[in-house]
Amino acid sequence: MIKNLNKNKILFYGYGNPGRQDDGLGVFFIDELIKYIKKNRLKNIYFDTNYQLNIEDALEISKYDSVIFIDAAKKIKKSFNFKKIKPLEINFYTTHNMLPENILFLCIKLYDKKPDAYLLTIKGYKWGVNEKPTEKALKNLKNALIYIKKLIKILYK
Amino acid sequence: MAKKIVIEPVTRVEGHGKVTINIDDKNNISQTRFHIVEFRGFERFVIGRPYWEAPVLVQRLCGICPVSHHLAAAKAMDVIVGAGTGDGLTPVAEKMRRLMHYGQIFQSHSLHFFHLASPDLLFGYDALPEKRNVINIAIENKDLAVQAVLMRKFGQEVILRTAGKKIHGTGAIPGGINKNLSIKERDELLKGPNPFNADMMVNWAQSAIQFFKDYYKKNKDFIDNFSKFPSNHLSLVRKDGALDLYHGVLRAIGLDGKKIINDVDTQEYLEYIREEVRPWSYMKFPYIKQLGPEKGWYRVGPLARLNTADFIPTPLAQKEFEEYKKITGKVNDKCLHTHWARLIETLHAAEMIRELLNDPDLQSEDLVIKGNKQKRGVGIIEAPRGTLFHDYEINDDDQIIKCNLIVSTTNNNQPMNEAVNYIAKAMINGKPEISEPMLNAIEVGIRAYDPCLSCATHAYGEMPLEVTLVDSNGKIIDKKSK
Repeated sequence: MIKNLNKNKILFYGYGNPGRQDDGLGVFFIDELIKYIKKNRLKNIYFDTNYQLNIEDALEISKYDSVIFIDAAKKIKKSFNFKKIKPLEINFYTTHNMLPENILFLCIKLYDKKPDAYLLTIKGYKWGVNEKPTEKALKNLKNALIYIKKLIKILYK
Repeated sequence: MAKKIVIEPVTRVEGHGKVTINIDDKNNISQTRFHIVEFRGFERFVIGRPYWEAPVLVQRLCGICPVSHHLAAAKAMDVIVGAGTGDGLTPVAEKMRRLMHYGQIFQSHSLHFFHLASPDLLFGYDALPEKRNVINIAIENKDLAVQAVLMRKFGQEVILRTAGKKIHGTGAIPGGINKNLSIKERDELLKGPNPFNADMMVNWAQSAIQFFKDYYKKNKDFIDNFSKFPSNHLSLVRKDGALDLYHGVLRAIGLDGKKIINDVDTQEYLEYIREEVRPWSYMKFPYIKQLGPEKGWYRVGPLARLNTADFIPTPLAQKEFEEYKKITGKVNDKCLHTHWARLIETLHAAEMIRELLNDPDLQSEDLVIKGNKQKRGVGIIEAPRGTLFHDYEINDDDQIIKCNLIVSTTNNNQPMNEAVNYIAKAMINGKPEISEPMLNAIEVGIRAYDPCLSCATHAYGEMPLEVTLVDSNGKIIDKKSK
């Protein structure tokens, strides 16, 4: 359960390559969410973006009570997917693709902290070298944003 | 039956590469190749863009080392706006850029050694694949993993305060810089609470070198003899021969350590360096013109830099350099010594960061200088992975009409192919079976060059590992994916 925002801090962490169309959906999502948060002057909500998840993100997320990772996805059926994630001790071959589950595992292992962690994936379609995401992906992003805004309202009650 | 073994992608490097090994009927290596499968095309994409966009635009080449491209492009644009060829900026502009660059070197080198290379060194390249990764470093040596995280974070915080952003910053502009370093920003890095300050980073960089030296003592034979082959070496050096990662003159040494290229102005690089295209790879093959493509290929990066430089202008790194040179000699061709050289550079970067943070010039307001506009500018810098060349020409409408980029990893293209060939012959020749540790040994050789093979898309769940076994007729014998 995501902790109440009146007393707890949440990090929204979007990642991906904004120079490759829909791969940057995580970063674009954060850009839009920041506008909403600033307009409504909401407190205890923090943001970060990056190209990919790295080992030092374990330190970053250890400072928050909850964290929501946001990334693009190819193979989800709906326009977006939101799920709680569990720590994963890794069985991968490259740090070029660390999963948020791995970051959560490292956070627990290295810093003895276990924030509530969730993953929001937004469906993308094209991944070429171009800074503009597709229109379809932007609609999915909008749907995801509506969902998260509703969630944020609940978390302030 | 003759066989072809393909390793794709190469693991624990940045980006995607593929290794192809052809084996004849007697299980002897007949050919090896290291292919680059990603096509970037930035030299075409920038055509038609206004020149002042280049330092921001070309960073999109890479999300791992964008600062290097940002600064190399800015240096080229300095020439175009008439601000000189790298040493004509105001003191605050040059020192802010240097601070940004050393932050990049520090974080990139820390990332490479602790996260990418150390699993092989600590667990052995014949350990199980599930073991050979940074997560197990964290499990088995928590203190080392925590230290590694903070070292990388510190470098990124230096970049944030100098470039404006951790990734794809905008600090360097044609003719200078767009911000200085405030006292608050300086003190956050210089006087931060332990361990997050410049002094601690110097200490940790020293302990990282000691970590390697202790490992080397126990594994000398492996480190000295894994992928050892002679080559030319190239880098920038300061005019007096000192190691200088931001600006200098071009120097190359030959197999015997004698200078082939010396004291060459960066604007004249094309008089000395050529590039060859081969049909089986998107990456080009640079070579020293006077030696030709067969003999003129060269290494760049930490190993090369500690071969070409005469000394290191920071005291602790210089002391380590002297010890390193006593053991390794005038010219060091041992591939895995690159890790040692990289850690000495990490210490040098930490010392430079501390020195620059104490320099009051960083608070000056005199940020930009301009002169008579030129139609062409070259910017060369020593990126973490090696010498990086940016070369631009513009028209009367200030648009880029020509661009040539020789990225660091491209300079190491032939050396990486040589490494694959050397290791494949040593490990696989004549063997009846091909094991995963043998294949990883080849990757160990490539990883020592810390290659950055370009950013790729990595939507959630989309990073399959595929290994294909192909016979000499091109028929797929076996295919496995993960």
